[in-house]
Amino acid sequence: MNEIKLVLTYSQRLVRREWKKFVLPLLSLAITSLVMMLVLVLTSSSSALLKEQARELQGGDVVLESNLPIISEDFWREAQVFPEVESKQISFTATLQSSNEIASFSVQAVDNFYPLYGQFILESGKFEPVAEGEIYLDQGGSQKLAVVVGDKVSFGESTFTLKGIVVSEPTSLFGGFRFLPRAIISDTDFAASVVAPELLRAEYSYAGKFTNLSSLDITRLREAEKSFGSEFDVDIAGQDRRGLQFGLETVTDFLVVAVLITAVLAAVNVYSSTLYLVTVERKSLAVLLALGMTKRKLTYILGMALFYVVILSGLIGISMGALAFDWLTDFVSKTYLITLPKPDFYLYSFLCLGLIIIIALSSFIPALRQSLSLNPRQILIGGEVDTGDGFPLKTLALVTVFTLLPLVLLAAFLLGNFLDGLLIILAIVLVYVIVAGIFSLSLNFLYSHRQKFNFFFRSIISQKKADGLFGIVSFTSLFVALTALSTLALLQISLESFLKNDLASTVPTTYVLDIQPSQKDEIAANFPDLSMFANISARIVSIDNRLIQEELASPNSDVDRELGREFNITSNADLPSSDSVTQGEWSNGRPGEISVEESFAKRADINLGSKLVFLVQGFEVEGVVTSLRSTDSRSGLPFFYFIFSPEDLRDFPGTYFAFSYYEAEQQKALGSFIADIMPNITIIETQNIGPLVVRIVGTLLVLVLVVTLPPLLIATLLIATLVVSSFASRQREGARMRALGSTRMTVMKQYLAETISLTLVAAVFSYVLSLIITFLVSNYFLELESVVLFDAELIIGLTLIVFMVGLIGLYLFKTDTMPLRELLSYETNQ
Amino acid sequence: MLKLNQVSKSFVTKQGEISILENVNLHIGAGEKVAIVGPSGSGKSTLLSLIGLLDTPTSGEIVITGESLANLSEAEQAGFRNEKIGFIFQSFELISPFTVTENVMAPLDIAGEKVNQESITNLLDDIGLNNRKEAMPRTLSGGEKQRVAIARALVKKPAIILADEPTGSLDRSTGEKVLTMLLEAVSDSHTTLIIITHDESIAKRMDRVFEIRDKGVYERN
Repeated sequence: MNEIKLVLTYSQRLVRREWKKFVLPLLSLAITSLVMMLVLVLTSSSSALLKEQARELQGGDVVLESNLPIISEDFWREAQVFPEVESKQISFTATLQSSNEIASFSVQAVDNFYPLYGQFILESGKFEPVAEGEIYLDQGGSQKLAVVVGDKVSFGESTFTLKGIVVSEPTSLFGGFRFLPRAIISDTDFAASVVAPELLRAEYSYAGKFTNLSSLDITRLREAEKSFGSEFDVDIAGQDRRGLQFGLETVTDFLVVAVLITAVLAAVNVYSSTLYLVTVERKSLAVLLALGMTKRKLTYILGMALFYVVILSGLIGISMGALAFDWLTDFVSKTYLITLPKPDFYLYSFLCLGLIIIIALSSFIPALRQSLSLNPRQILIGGEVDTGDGFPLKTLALVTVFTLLPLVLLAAFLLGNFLDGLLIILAIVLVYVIVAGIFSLSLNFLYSHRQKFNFFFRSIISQKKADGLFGIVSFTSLFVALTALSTLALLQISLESFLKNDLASTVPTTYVLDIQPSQKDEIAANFPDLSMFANISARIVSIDNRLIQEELASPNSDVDRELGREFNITSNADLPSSDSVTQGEWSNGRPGEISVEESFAKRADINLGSKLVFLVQGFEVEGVVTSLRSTDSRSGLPFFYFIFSPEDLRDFPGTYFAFSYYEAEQQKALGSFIADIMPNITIIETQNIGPLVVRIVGTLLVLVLVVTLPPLLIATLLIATLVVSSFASRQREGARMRALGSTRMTVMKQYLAETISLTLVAAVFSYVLSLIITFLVSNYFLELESVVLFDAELIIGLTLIVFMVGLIGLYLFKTDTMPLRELLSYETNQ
Repeated sequence: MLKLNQVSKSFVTKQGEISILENVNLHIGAGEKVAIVGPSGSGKSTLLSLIGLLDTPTSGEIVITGESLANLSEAEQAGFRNEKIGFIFQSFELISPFTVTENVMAPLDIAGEKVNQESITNLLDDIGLNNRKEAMPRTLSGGEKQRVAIARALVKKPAIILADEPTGSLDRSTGEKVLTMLLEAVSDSHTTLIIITHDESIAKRMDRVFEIRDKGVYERN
């Protein structure tokens, strides 16, 4: 038999005859491949979707946005980057009427090139560019106005025919967060309408389509943006994280964390399973060495056996992952009308299989080498133990580093940064080695003081000490599994809380936008319950005599770009209900004093006593900062960075923004009042958007759950593997105790006490560690605002795991039918 | 055939260096049957593992069939074990996932040699296990297991068979049968047999008996 045939034959024989010993690694690797495949394709698909959505949300690859019409060609020329196609759009909010109903709409006046990306899905028929006299409404809008295709809808003095009802827009994923129903008219109709543009809060967008936007192009666009100063904003798709897009990317980041934890668990699982397998089979392996087989050949045989298991589990996992993705795509498509882009299945299957093989082999080889380092003489003939191996922790550290090395590649791939990947894995290695070190030192301490304990505990301590490296690895793996489990659960809860916090209970039922100064008093007289805030556009001229706009225009400016934009400022004598003063004293309307939101103040280097100068409608307004405020940005209440004294802004007409907690009847009365005489004013009724937000948040949570469950399953499986392994090593010691007069019950109690106490210690310390990890990951990686550090369900879950470990142990004991005679026979006892 | 020249073996422990064998000289001829006796812990197993290349001496030289074992690489040691030495252990040490036939064939497989099925069948006939050739080790009795171990040790026609208490795990009657079979087999093949035993009745059936005491090996008269 030549070497290749020998390796193939012996490895097949091993797997075929000892298949039960491969079940746990197979299950573990299959679940790992499943989750890895699912996460890889989901990440790829959601990245593609986000990229697409980022363009669709903006309406193009690069979008110039301004409150006034601009000549976009000047900008493209300055940047030396020219769009293939450009679409010009005007967005504003307005109140539309049908024959019976009135409703506020987000109206978009578009040209023939709109949309540059994505497609519209109508209730019936196909979307065509909007012609003169035509209007498209979304489903919510058509229901509010109670119109069907062909009906008439009017805006100011213009009348339109409803051309189609939009079911899904290119931006439908984000549609849930659009406050108002949607209407689309042609730009020529907008130009022809007699509504005065200055009464509308219109935004002018110039969207450019660029098939290949290089990083050099982006740099040029950013340079051109600087040279154009503060005339308009330049948004580049995929460059900014905001709104729900931020939420989705946060979920994607979470997926990356989940897949890394899964991979680490899988590696530890394979390592532990291999160590167990080789320990159980060590006599057969030693015999083969004695019969003249080299360690190299033996490694090949065992490696090949594992390879079969890896290939089988990989194929099972990948197929199931692909099926799960198909099901998920179908579900999302039917439920939310979002088509997830198809990822390259062949590429990701190959990648997934490759990663699983690398992870499995890299965790298998150190475990095998560790076991084969034992001289067969000690196994087969007995004799003195050679103690020249050195400190086991050193070996453990090396083994751990080798096991986790390929995970650096995976982490680097998923995070898109080698250094980040390296740091994350090094952190995991550090935790692993520190835990192993603490466990080993504690055990040594207990062992040297074991005489102080009774026989029961002394036996447990001696057993653990005798377990040596395997005992240390078992405990550390259990600790890592429980930490991963707790961390994932806490992260999931934090993420859930973060997503759900979008629906604060303080959100008003009604917002009223764009109230003109001339309309303010009349509205206030008729609807005195409305809380009204001035909303005036202003730019910062200087902060403590530092000329912000001038500095921004210089090429080497270190001033935050955010300071160059136009801010909405307000005036109020009273502190808004969602705010609280954190530094200084509230001005109570004293002229010349300004209150600034604290996080912005920190970013802009504004302090108490800072002198601020603003440019408001061509005039400079100045004041001194006398208070800093914290504000609850999720309260749904008006949120301003700057609040002035009413006297300071009295001469500057702006628009007003109002809110109230009106019921449906009052909302209808308000709507009727403004539709007749003030069509420029917009009313937003928030009770309609709540269910939509809940639905979208629900989708994200399903996604989070889908990804969280498999790692939890693997962690549980790993715990089960460790219990089974420890039972196998305890079986014969238990038999010896029974031969010496212990009852079966005493032996069982001792085994259960050992297993449960170790799991309990691991659970408590892993929970503490997971609190630290969750805090760090949530704050610095996922950037969640609210971090949940206590969860009763998790505590119950960990307690259940401790019970589960006990139950598995109990089951193994109860089903162990090997007679005492056999357990104690010379042959099986060596 | 087998020569040990000034062979010493010591182990380094936390308590310091422990010497097990010191300046052992031994010469055993081809086809001889030799017993090594001595109290527990005297170094019998250490001597066996040195001769069987499962361990290396601290000093001195071991020569088997004219070939010095010093300075052999790990792969060369494995090859030498496979070619020249057959092991029989007290606890049988069959490979648990392998059948009876596969266990017997294992040394040939490892050497990469073509298996002559007829010779395997004859060998199994000789040990009376042809009817159990596809059985797994766990289904065999102790005597049957040791017979398989003997067949496995003989299959490559080694120069030396090293047997460590081969009947230690068997009852007297079965042990007697197994020993007789082993002695007949080595006589027929003119193989050198070195057997470690505590049993004086076994030692008396050998050509020569060596005793280990005071870290040295001495031949009984």
